[in-house]
Amino acid sequence: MLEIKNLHCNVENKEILRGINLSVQAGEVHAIMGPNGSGKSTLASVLAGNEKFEVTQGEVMFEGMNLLDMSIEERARAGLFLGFQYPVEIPGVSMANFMKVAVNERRKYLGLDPLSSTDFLRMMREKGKIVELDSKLTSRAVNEGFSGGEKKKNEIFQMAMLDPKLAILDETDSGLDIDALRIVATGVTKLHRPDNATIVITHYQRLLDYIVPDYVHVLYKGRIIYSGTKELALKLEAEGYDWLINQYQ
Amino acid sequence: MNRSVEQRLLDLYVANVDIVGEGFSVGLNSQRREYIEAFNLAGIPDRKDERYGLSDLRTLFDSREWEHYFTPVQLSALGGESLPSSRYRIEVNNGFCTETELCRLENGVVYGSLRTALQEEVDSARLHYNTVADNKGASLTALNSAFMQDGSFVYVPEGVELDEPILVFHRYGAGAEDVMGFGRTLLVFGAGCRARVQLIHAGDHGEGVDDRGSYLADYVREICVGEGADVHLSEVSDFSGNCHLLLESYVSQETRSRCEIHTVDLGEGTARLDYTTDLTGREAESYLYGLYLHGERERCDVGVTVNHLVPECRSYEMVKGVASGEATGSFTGRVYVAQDAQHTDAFQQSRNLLLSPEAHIYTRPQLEIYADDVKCSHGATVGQLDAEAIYYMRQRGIGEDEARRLQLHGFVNDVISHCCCESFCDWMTARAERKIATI
Repeated sequence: MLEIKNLHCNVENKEILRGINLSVQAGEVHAIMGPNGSGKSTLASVLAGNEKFEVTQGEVMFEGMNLLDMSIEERARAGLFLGFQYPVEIPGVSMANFMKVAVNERRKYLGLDPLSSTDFLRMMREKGKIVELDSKLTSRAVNEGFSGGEKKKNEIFQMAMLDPKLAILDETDSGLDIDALRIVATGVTKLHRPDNATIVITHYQRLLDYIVPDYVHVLYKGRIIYSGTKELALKLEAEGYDWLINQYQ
Repeated sequence: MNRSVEQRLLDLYVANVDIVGEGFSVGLNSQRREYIEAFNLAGIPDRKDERYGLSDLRTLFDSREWEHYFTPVQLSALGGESLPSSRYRIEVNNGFCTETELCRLENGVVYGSLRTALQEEVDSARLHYNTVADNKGASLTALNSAFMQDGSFVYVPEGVELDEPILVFHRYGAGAEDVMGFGRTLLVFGAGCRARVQLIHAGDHGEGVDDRGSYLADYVREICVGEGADVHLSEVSDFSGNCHLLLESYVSQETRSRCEIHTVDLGEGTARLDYTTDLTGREAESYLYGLYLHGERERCDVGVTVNHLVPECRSYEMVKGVASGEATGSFTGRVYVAQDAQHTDAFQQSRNLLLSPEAHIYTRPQLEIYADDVKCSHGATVGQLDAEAIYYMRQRGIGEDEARRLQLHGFVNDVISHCCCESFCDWMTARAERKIATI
């Protein structure tokens, strides 16, 4: 589904990613861990197409397409979803209006007709249940005045609405209390199917108690320095990154 | 031709004094002389006048040989323009009401031609005309008072709750010539009444008038809001042609009255919109929500003055501007709090979006406070569309143009979505959307 080969990227002439290689197949869950500043969020942004980042080398294939040639919205319509670490507030734009345009763009890409208002509202209600989203929030402006937990729930709600092939969740667990973490993580698990894939970026093993990864990768200084199975996350939680970094150096 | 604008207008007045005053009372006509003199003395406001510093009105007045008609002119039929539906409706062409008869409803509401109301000596018209706008220092208002021949009039008696809004539809234009005209509106709301009024200013949208001239409208409005009355006005100016609207709106509010105004300018010409509110009775509340959306070389200057003359009143103003292309927008706001107007609660905000490097926004919020126990605040922002929000929307599959459109819609939405009735909001929203698509 996703094939990253030797990906390099710069921000303001500073090299942040220094040769990432990663292969994700349908049905898989990958966790990306690593110390602060190792390039995890940059990788997510580059895959989403954020124009602040300049790709200098490498190749990314997504569903057989050259991802790096596609615009931000083309990537999204093709089924790439980024759960934001800091979801953006958009004053004056209602959740319903925003989601309706987004869902219909995705449907158009898939060759489906736009949803009728009734079907759309029904879908909003059903998908809202997955993350126990207060139905009042969907009539408010996008993320405006939402609490930290509500914003993260809202990300997973949008993921449920858009039904992506590949979801990249950038520190979706940060800033969540224990209950919200359970709700958000369970929501992601409910959306997992054999024909889609998830990349979870996290600092903490506790998220992986819910979203059980098939692979855990450790990113350090813009490279994946170690890959393992879910047991790796437990070992990192207990011992930190030093042993890996020392081994790498 | 070398005469000044002031001299030309004075000469025009003197030459036509009989036509202008025909049918009006001696008292009203004798005032005209004072007004034209006041205008001549004050002159067209120039840029030295702080309130007008951003609008070059002299150049506008000097730019053409403006014709003036003292009799109604037939405007071409409306070409495919749909208006919001309304049961109570007044149509005004170039300042003249199309119906001379007044409409009188069973509950005592009167609406229609201001000329007829004044000439038939309808008390509510006679007693209130030129009381709120009796401002000889404001030269455009004085000019209007000298030349006034007709306009629109609404009276809602004490305690009456008007079931549906009254629509006042102004159209301006005159075929191929460059024409100047005067419009006037008098709205009188009795104590404890509840009423909604919609005002539309539009150009001559007729078909086949390609060589259309320019139109310069000097329009004055007086609104008297009685004790405990609750009044809601929504106003749209949407000129398709080469129109220039100079609007001076005056509101006087008595004790515990509430007046809410929503005003949206989408016109392609230039507009200078001045709103003055006098809070003359305790616990009166005034709300003004303004919006202009401009592209190309369009221009809109908004002036808002609220005079807190007595204690315990509340005022709230939110004026939003969007300028794209080479458009210019300006806001001059002034909240005046008199010495004994204690416990005033006043808020004034100007929020603006600049969408292109050649567009200009000027904003000047001002407070002038002489009382010592008040809550007054103001603010002004000029910014751009939020790039993070656009990235966020694009990541959800929404195209860049659509993301910009959604964000602009979000910016203007709170002004247009709370106007006085749903069908008018829908109509206004559709107009605004159409304008957003062009800027």
